[in-house]
Amino acid sequence: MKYQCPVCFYDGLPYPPIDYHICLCCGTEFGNDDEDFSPAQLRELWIASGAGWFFRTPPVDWNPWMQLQRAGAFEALQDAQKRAVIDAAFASFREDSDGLRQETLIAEEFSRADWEAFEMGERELAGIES
Amino acid sequence: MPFANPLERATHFLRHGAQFGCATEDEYEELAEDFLFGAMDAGTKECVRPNGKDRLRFRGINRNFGVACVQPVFVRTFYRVRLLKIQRHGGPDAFFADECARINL
Repeated sequence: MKYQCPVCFYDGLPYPPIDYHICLCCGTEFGNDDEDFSPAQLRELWIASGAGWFFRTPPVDWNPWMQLQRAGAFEALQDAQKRAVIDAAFASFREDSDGLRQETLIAEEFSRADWEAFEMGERELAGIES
Repeated sequence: MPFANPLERATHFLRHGAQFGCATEDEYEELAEDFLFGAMDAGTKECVRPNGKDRLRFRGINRNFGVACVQPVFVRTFYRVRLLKIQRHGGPDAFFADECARINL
């Protein structure tokens, strides 16, 4: 039987989150850390420290942002973390061959003239006279 | 008596070993065993929680704290309590009294 950590929502714990067991994912010691802070506060601390994996190597394809998103904790994230979730989603999009082909086609269609117009706009925004 | 299993030993070492300057799991486990099952000095206190299954030891001078399962006998945890936590409870004696009385586990 597997258990879920109430802090990081990792759902592969081999023991329940009590009795001084330590979460393999976020490193929370249940009965110690959660005596001082709520799960939400510990989650914020974990995210602020980079949301890294605690014990040895993480499971294959483990992604902290996806883990939080699946558990419905996405709203608790700050903008930077939300961007990381979106980046992770795009990374998986790129692994898909159709997605990669579409991305290549879009890049090819964005012609040299478009780049020049884009750069000109950027310079104007930055207040640089060409 | 050691930790309940190798995973418990490894995770607790990773989490707390550096607090005691331990370089290996063996070193950390030995310290935990000495603290929880060895002879107590005058500065170390001991109690059993109301649940009857946790035996605690605390040494206020260095803030070492350990919990052992009474039956079967094994180490649950061993760490150095943060100073802020002790202060929040109102000092070493109050911290240990609160820990001993805990039922929210």
